[in-house]
Amino acid sequence: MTATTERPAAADSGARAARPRAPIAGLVTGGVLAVVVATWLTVPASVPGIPMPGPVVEYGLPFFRELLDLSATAAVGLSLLPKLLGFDDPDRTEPIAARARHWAVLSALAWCAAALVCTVLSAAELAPGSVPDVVAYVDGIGTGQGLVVSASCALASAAVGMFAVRFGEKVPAELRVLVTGFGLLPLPVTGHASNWYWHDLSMVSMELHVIGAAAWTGGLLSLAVLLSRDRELLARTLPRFSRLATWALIVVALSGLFNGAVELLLSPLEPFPQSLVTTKYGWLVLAKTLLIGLVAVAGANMRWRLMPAVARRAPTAFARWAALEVTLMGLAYGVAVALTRAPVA
Amino acid sequence: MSEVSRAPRTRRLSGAKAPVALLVLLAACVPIFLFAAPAQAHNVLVGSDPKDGARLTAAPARVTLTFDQAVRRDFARIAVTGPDGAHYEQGDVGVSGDDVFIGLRAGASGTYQIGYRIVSNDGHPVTGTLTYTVGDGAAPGGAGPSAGASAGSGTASDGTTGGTAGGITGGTTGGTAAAPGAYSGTGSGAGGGSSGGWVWGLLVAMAALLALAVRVLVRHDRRTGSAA
Repeated sequence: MTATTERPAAADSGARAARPRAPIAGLVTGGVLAVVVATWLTVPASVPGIPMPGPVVEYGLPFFRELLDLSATAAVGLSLLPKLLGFDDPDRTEPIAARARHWAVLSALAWCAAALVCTVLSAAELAPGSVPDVVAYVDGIGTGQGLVVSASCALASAAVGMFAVRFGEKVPAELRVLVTGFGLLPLPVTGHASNWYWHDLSMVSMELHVIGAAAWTGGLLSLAVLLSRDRELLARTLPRFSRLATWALIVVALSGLFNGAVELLLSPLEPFPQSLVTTKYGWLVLAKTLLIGLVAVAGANMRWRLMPAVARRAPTAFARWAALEVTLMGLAYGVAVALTRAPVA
Repeated sequence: MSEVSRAPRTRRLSGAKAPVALLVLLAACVPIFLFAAPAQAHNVLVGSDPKDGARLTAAPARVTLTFDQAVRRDFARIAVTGPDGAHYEQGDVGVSGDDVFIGLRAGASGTYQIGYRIVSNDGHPVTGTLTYTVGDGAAPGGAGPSAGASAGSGTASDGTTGGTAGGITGGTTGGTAAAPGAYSGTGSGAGGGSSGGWVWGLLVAMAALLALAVRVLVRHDRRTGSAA
């Protein structure tokens, strides 16, 4: 049943793919652009007498980390989509849900591949000028373990997703959301949240940040790609997503400000309010704050100006606004990757 | 159809359980803390001996860099480049608490550059450069040697051989600073490094799970195909 509905969906996606790809292109282009610029800004100067990693590692590592984040986000968003679509009108939602299941598996596999490439590049970053010893790197460094655990979670998500591809919505959406969402957790705990008395609190805040960002960006991405042409379904789904997005905005903004401020406040060298402008970490925090502000404006526009028309099933500029918002989110993701790597000083 | 009912976890939670799912997700964070090391942050250089930009009357016997928290020994590198472009560090990098140090051989007066690269507790490399001057600032040939030093660093960063640019260092350093094979011979030094080999097991298990899923689905397809 599900397999037969998937074939035609996949077939005609090729025919009318032109516009729904804009959000994907925007997300990836925005993300890669931001990550390259931010990396270029924060790349460490060469040090006399010490071999430095080459440009392949310096730029390749953030690039693949960006791909990791984006594909994980897509996997989360596509797993969430059935919850947003609802289960009361399967005849109408099933073709869309089938495509979402299909792409969720592919996103999870891309996520796994990106995580493994990141592991190798991270090992290479620590041993410039010699062959990277990935096993020793993973053995000794928490980030390496985090990357491998993330890759494992991606595989688990792909496995559950495969069952969902085959058995349809009989595999509960909650299970897919849980397994996929769990895969977001290992990387933040091995990042550089501060060494602080309330370390655990900043960890929880970081996890909330990542979960909120993935649900928000991934959810909007899957709506923009899969639903922007179906006015009827969009009218039913967008209000549900809008509630989710409101919570995600609050969570992401608060946890992001908290973590950025903690990291800057606890820097032993730089005094706080000035370090926002004197350090590159501060610049990146400001850039991300600006971006989330723009995303919030775009989201507010969608919520209050587009949603009433969408609810009336009237033609709207939803696709265009969603593509714009997703692109802004991609830029924020790119800055985020640079932020995980940049020292405060 | 009986095959379909054998699909794992066919029970469906009722809708509108998203908050519950979120709570479960948060609860799932807790075990993660078990393998997160207590201190995960970027190390920051807070001091050094000799200080950055210091003018010394005699060449120091060793260089000490002080960070804001303990430093992993296994990746720490310090290179001291002299006014003639040669390396002056000798012996192995040592670590005590927040300090990283390395011995120096005697050198002429002039400006020395300390380059360091450590791996912070969060796994990110932290690099930096300090300078100090021995003797008179107006040491003979002040400009020429610094050009030589920067050329040397250029070669070192370009070279993929690990040992820093043999032509410049000559045999003097014995490869102390940038010994090829960054991981070799330092196994005992890691101290707080957690042994994380188990994650490979997890990866293999998940790959096996995925392979199993594919296999089950292929067999399922074949059976339903022949039944139809």
